[in-house]
Amino acid sequence: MSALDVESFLPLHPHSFRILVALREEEQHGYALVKALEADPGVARKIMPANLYRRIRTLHEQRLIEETDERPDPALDDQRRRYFTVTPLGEAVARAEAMRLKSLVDQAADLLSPRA
Amino acid sequence: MDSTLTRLYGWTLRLLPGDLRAEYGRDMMRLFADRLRDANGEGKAARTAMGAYVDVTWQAALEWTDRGRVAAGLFVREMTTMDGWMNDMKFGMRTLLRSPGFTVAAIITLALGIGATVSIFTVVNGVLLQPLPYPDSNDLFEVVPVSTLRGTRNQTVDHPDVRRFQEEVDGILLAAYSGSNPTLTGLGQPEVISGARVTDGLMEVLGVAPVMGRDLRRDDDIPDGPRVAVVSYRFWTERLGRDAEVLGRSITLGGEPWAIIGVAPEGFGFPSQAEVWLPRRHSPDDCGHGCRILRTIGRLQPGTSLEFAEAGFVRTGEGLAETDPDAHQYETFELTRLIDSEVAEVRIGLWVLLGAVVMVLLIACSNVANLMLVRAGARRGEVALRSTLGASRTRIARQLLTESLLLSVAAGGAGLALAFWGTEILLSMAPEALPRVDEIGIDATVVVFTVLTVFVVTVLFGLLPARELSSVSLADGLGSGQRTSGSRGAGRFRSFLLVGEVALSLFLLLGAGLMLRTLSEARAVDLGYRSDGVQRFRLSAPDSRYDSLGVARFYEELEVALNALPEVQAAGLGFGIPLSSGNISASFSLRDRPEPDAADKSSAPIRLVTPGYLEAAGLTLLQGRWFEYSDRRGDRPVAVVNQAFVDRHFPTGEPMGTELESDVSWGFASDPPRTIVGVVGNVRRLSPMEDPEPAIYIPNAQFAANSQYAVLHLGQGVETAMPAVRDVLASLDGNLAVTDVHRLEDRVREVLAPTRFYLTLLGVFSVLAIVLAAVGLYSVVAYLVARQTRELGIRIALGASSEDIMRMVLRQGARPAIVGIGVGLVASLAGARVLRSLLFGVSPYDPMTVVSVTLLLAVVAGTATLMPARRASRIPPASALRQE
Repeated sequence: MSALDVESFLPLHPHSFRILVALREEEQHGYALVKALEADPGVARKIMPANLYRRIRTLHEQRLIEETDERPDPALDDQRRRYFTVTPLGEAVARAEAMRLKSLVDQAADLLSPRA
Repeated sequence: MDSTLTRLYGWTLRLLPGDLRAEYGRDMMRLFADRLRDANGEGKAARTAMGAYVDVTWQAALEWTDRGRVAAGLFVREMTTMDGWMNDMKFGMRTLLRSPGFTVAAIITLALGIGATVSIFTVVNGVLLQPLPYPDSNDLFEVVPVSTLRGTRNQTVDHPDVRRFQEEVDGILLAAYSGSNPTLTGLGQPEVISGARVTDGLMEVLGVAPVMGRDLRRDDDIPDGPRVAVVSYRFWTERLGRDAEVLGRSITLGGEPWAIIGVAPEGFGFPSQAEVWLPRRHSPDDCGHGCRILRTIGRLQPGTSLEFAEAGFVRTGEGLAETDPDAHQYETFELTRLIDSEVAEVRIGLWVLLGAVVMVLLIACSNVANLMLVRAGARRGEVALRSTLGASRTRIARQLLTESLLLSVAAGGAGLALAFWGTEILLSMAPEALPRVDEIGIDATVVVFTVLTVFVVTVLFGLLPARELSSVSLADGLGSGQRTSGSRGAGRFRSFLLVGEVALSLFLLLGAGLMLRTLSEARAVDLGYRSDGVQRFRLSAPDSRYDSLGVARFYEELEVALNALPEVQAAGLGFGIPLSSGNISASFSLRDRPEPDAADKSSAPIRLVTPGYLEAAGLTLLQGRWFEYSDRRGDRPVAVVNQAFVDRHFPTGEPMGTELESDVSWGFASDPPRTIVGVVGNVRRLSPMEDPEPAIYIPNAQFAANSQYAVLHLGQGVETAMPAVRDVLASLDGNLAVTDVHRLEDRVREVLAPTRFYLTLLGVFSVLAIVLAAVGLYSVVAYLVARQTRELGIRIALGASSEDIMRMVLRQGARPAIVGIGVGLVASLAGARVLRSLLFGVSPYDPMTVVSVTLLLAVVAGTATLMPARRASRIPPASALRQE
């Protein structure tokens, strides 16, 4: 996995970025993912199903996420839901996007800070 | 409530592409249910659901747009990648060269179709489509007087009318002219040249200006005005050696000197390639009121519409009817665009020919498409292999289209070359009546048309086979080897092509058949005069040397001298006679008869003839007597009328002895009342296809026209008598130009030339069509037989008789042929109306033609099917079964 490969996915759509980050923390299914995303104060609107799953489909096709067979305790969850987890490539892409955003923020901060 | 919202969500999901729905639809439904449950807690279920519906719709739109963009991008990229094209070209070329038989057959078929189509289009383009060679030529119009009683369209008006139009109609320029063919002397041999007598402003109307000197002005157009002339550029170049001092130089026309005041620009020769333009100089007594010899053309000024100008003419016409009811009571005026009036005679005919040749091209295309489909069957293995090796459908389709394109470009090139030749042939056989012949040629428009034709042809014969083949799958391609013929779709398409070919052939055959009937009907018509063995020529005794008594005496002496020649069986002279130029009409009234209905009062053509004319022309005297040498000027004025005149004006009464008063006043103050002394048979003056018109004959001695046609019945001596005739002329007057020398039968043939032209071309096209259709039928049936060899072998082995086999194969060819004939019949009956104006003596639905054409086509189609069917019935079962 070269740097070029990772770069070619950038910039990520904010939702895609959040999905990758949320999946980095733990494997999730759609509903949990939505909840995790909406917990973010930056997401003002509710995320609707078609929107979410088109994004998941794209990330899946790009091999940034994958479906996982591991399930939590059946007592705790519905076995029919599909769970997703982030791939190593997805993780690298998320990290690269984070760096990109950080340097963007740093630059802006530099430019906007009151001159001495 | 929730279940309804959920069900509705399930429906909206159908907006998404199937694969996306299949993969994630269930998850979306579940998530939707989760969201709904949450929203119910907040009492916002409906709102949330609505948001979800909008979301699906929006996402579906995004998804489809994305996919469309990707697909289109891919298609365009694959279709336009240049190196790929080069490969396709090379590959296509190799493929085509590998089967030279197919390639040559396809190219020849298409080249014939394209060549014929482009040739006809070249003529249509030059005659009908290209603007006239004048600036803003679409603003030019001709004034057409129309009789409100009969609906007949005249073309001429008199000079006072022209002046009134010029003064009263707003927003136009107007000029008038009449043809005139003066004899030019003093520049080599006496020669009659083409010219025109014109009012002022002709060049201004047409938007051109003299290259030297000036055009004729209003003060030239007065009675006995100055003898001035404008000459054509060609006249100046060829006859005057581009003399720089030409202005003021004098030329002799009709024995009188005319001073050149201007030279027209190069290429200008309106009307009919005129070489000189002269002022009219007629006095109102000579040719003024009622002397309707002028044709008018006008130009719309900027901002004036044709309708506005026409309203002006109609208004002025109403004024004319008030001040001069006799001449204008039943008349109104229409404007026709000049180009329309120039090409009116041939417009329908040319479009019919173009339609016919396009049908031939369509048949050629469907034949090649059929060949391609047959080949496609044999190439399924190759295509399946390529698609297994990773070629996309687009790539394969492109490859096949490239082959089609190569074929049609080669055919287009050959076709264009054929068209150069074809146009030459067309022009050489074109009737003299075809206008604007000089403007016919292969130009940029024609080349663009050819390129477009090639493109359309490629699509027509290439696209469907390409589509058909590019969907071949590995299984049906490789699995079944070469025996497969193609899908059911291809079979249906092949039948459809055959039906189309047969139907179009029937249409063309019917057209040709009807033209053939028209020609034979027209030939069978009794013209009312003799045309075989008759020689004619035109003489113009100049009025500078002959007064009205002198000219009458001269023509009488000439007639007597000609009749004395042993070579001459009968000689006579006449003006206004069949198939000659020059015609005068006069209004008349019949004395001592109840006023005829106003319509009949209008006018009749006047024929000025000599005593010898009756016999020379072969007219039939029906009643009374013909003219004699004793009918001189000053004696009792007499007239002879024709049977059509009697039929119209004396339906019950007796014409003999009735006095006829006409207002003919060309050359005389007025004509005295004349007594009708005889009735002659009708003649069809201009065409066997027209109805005979009522006419009045007047002895030339009592009227004396300067211009006359000599009519000589020479019988067998028609080849050899002319030298003796010229000697007689020279002994009477050596300075007369003899013009328009022709055999009358040639003239009659010329009249039918347009019909013969249409017939020849439709005949050629329909033969081409029927041959192509027969080849198409034959090759398809033969191909089907080859494909079914094994099946037929099994049937024979199981006991089918050779009749059974023949019947089975015949059915395959007969079905499209019969359906094609049916479709063709229905289409022909619906479309035959367009032919009506080209036909004579035969209805477009003529049962005899329809039946014989249908039978002919059925026989040809039957034969084309029978040959492969017979071969099929003789298949030895053993070898058929062995065949893989």
